[in-house]
Amino acid sequence: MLKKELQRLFSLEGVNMALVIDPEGRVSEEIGAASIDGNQLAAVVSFVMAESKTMATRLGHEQISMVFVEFRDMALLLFPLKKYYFLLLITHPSANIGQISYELKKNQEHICSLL
Amino acid sequence: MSDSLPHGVIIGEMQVPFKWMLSHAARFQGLIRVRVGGGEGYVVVQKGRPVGCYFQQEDAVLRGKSAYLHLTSVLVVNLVIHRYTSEEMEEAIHLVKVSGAGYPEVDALSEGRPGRVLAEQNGETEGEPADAPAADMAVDTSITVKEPAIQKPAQPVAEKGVILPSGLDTENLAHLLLGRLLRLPGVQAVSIFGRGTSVLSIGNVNLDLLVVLADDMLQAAKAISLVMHTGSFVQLTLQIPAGKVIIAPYFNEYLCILTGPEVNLGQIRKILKEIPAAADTGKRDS
Repeated sequence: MLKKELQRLFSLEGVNMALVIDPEGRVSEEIGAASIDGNQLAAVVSFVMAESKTMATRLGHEQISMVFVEFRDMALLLFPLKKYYFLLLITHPSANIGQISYELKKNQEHICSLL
Repeated sequence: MSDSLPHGVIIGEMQVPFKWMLSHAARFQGLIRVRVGGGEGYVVVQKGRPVGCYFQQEDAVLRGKSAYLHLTSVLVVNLVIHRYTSEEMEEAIHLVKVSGAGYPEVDALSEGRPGRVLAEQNGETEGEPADAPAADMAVDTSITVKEPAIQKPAQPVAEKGVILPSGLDTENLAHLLLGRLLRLPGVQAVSIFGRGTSVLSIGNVNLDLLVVLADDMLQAAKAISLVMHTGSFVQLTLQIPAGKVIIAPYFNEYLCILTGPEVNLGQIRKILKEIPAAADTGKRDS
């Protein structure tokens, strides 16, 4: 079921990879981009999420809406799910982030229910 | 003494040479509180020109011209900038004149009369130029100045080019930060930082502590490049219900922008994209 939801996100234009990462920094589910080592990426991206949470807490908000890391050749979107799980989408740098973000928010509750 | 002046609205804090601050405040009117060494004081500024100056360090008190000359001789000062309404400005001008801290002679200095500046720094305040208004002289001769326990610089800094910490380019700095980013609706504060230390910070929120965390976020994000081919780092945006934290390269340093939820990210991106290609030689090649 979770894979099916990731498949839906993966089908959006500009999305190259979709992963759900667990609280231990391991891949719970993934789809796309076979050339990328999901586990290695998950471990590194978990640090970004952890540091972002520290910043959010410092600003008085435990809750993060989204983290968007943009590089010249790709972009990464991180969305918190529940119980410290989070979703990582790897996109083309010119992908329509607004559209992707909208689609995700629409299905976020359902994805959380599958964890 | 500055407690009696109107408070105004605090619009930012900076660490810059005082002369540089004035040269980039052509339309500013308000109060600039100054802290340097063990002393503190203020400068009342009207359309970029000081109209009142005061500085105190322990028992030493400087007013008017003496205070101005001292402040411009210090390489970098800590400033807190308060914006005034027209009414507050009028009240402040009145108060500084009454207190003997009025200083209407700055035009002559800013128009480049190094000889005069040097003479004044050496204590040669007698023999004002013939074109000096009599009213100005009256202000200065009425000043009660105790000799301060402040070391004068070996050379008059006012004659040197501005050197900012980390070698930042002042013009781009002013253009990008003061002139544009902070004016965007929703932008609360902007900081230039490097290695977890704030080089310059302006706005309604003190970012000095936040840049440490911003640097941690940045380093974590840049580590992604170690496990996959990402190309150079462009931008990191943390979105929380109350707003956003944006981190982006700025020459050899980074910008940290704190915004409210209503900010238009497109406008910020547009300005960031205009940062000269020189930035590509910096940390963009992560």
